[in-house]
Amino acid sequence: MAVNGQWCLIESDPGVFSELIKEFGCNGLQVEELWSLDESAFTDLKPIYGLIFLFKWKGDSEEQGKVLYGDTEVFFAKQVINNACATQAIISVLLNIQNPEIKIGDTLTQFKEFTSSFDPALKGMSLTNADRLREVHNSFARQNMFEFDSKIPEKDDDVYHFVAFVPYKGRVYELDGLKPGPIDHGSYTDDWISVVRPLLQTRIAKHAATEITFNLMAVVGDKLLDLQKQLESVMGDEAFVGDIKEKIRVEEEKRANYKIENIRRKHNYLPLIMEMLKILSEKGMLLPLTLKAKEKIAAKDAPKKESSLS
Amino acid sequence: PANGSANGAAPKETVTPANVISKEAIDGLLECPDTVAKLEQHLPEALRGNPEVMRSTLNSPQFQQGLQLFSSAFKSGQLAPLMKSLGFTDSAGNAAAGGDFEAFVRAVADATKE
Repeated sequence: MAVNGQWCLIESDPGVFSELIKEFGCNGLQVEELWSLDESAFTDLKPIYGLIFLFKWKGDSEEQGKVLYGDTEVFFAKQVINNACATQAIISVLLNIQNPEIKIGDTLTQFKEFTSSFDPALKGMSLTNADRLREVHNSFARQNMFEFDSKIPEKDDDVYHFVAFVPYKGRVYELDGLKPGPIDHGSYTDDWISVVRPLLQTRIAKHAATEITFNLMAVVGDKLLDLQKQLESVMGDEAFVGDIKEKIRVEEEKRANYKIENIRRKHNYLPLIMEMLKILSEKGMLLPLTLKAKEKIAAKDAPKKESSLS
Repeated sequence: PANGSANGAAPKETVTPANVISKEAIDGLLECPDTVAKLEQHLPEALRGNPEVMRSTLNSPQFQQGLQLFSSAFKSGQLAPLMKSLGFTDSAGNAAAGGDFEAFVRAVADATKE
């Protein structure tokens, strides 16, 4: 499926990203999508180790914060290729996690050590050439049934851009691979989200005005591990046990769904669709269904013609 | 027809496999146990053996994406060799080479009449 050395486009989805980081070898983390910038939306997800902000890129530049040049302690890599930018944003978050309880795994640890003395451009090159990371990333590529489908223009071929926000030793950084360095957004005391939330509000307000689509993902602590710990700590207190068990059930169901969705995502439906067409044809249903579909399209087109005449 | 949009009108929408394999078509296929068994062979093992999983798979955004991909590929005409290799007739294959799904369906229907 994947051409040698290339990074395929992958879907931006919490189920994809959660499984992706597990396969990188990370433990104790998952990815959640944020649907609102309300304080409570963030509170529910804590601890939050990093945010990934996706928006349709129009080539304009953000003028918030201060760009840092040269060597920085915070991990920052320049973006070398487009298709990997979601994964690059996630890896940037993972490599900047300071909590010793979170294990990012051998692959990422080795990569971090190997590139520690590199400048951002060379870090970006190294990331692009990291075979194991690319292999995992590409295993989530949306199905390519045919060699040639890359030539067919897709309607969602618009360029999306991902940037990461991370807390690092008391300061909030924005990691945008198109910038020369990490952007320093100032210090925080207890809660880094209190710095990043207004920042995102301003940015989304600006984007909403120009109808740019965006979404927001959070790299957070493993909810199931957390709930199991909670269950142990309240053992015996029936009032809490039922509540926590229900949350565990919901989380497990969510993961089971992610798993099924990822299996569906990776599957090639070509033989199935061919079989469907054959069966429909054998049953004599193919022509009537086609004519019906044609009528539907004609009916959909008709009102448009009327309005263009008036 | 390629320059039909020269006057500014949107290019005419044609029937694609994605239009034809509609929810209604899928529901029809799922009514017959023999058909379900045949279709299941083309799904990953983890998605077999459960009619509800089968139904939700065929209604999932991932399958829809596969259908859209198939439709684009059909339109490009490049699925024709595949259609021929799967036992559709030469005339159906030729229609497929033109990327016109309706013409393909008509050619298939004509062949089965004979």
